[in-house]
Amino acid sequence: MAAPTVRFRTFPITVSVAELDTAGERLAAIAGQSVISTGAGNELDFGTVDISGGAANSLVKMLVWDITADGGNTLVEDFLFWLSSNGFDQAGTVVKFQPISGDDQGTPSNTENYIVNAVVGSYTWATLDESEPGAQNVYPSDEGSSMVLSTAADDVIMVALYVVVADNETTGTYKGTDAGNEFQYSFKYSYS
Amino acid sequence: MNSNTPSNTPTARHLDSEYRRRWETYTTPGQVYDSRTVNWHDIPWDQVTQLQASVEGHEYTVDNTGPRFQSFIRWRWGGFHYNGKVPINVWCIGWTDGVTCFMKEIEFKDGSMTEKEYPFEQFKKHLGD
Repeated sequence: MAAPTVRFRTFPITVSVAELDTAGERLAAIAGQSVISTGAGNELDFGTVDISGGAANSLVKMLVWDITADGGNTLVEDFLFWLSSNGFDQAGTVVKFQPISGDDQGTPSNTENYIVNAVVGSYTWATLDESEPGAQNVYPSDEGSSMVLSTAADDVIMVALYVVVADNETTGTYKGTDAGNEFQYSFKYSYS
Repeated sequence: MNSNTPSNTPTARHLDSEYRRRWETYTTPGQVYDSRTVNWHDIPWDQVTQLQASVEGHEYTVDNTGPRFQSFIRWRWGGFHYNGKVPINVWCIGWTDGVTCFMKEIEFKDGSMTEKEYPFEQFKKHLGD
């Protein structure tokens, strides 16, 4: 059994709620989207965070994950997402995440409905685990534990993210495997 | 494209013949099925007495003789550690008593194995059927 083919995308937080309120729209090209995480130089970029005045936050970024080819499998489930390595020196520097659903999820509980132009105060947020979570922590819009595969997945997983940079954090560019300045995450799922 | 062709036709079920030195076997009283020639979805799971994975020369076996055995269960972990995009590829074979999954997790790359337990509820959709 081949592993499914997956992709990560990001899209501008200016995308409207209506453009994301069906699975079909979320699976199709989203306005202004770009595919990310295919290699070095293609990362999700949180930009520059100025801590000259103390602790500060990055802008909110959107992350979308889905499967584009099932590899002969019929099911994916148990989605796990975590910050697997970082070079931060301050314990207060963390990544905040919020699982996001489209507006078609009328009663979100494990997710929150997408909001246009989200800022830190828009969602509840949780701190992203820095070791593999013990249970699913990101979800498709129906908040199920699985997605059916039929050529592709039947929905996507959306997550909003931002970085809290603590006061006195060591300045520099944090990305990938840069020694001492790592900034890398992991995504894991089961399939059959 | 024929207008009657479904737009989301599933791809053909994959066989482990894609890989070197890696496969699973499913033993029934009348036959041993090999994942290089038959996909796990097409196995008569109600007849299986033993599930074996062979990965890089290492063999791991699960059988149905335990007193609490209820069903075989198997899945694979995929994903990436984005530290240079290191793939996650783990073959998992095991059994469940309907409460817990008792799994042997086998690294695709080198065949090393770790035993782990999971709540059955989290993985029950992977039951072989």
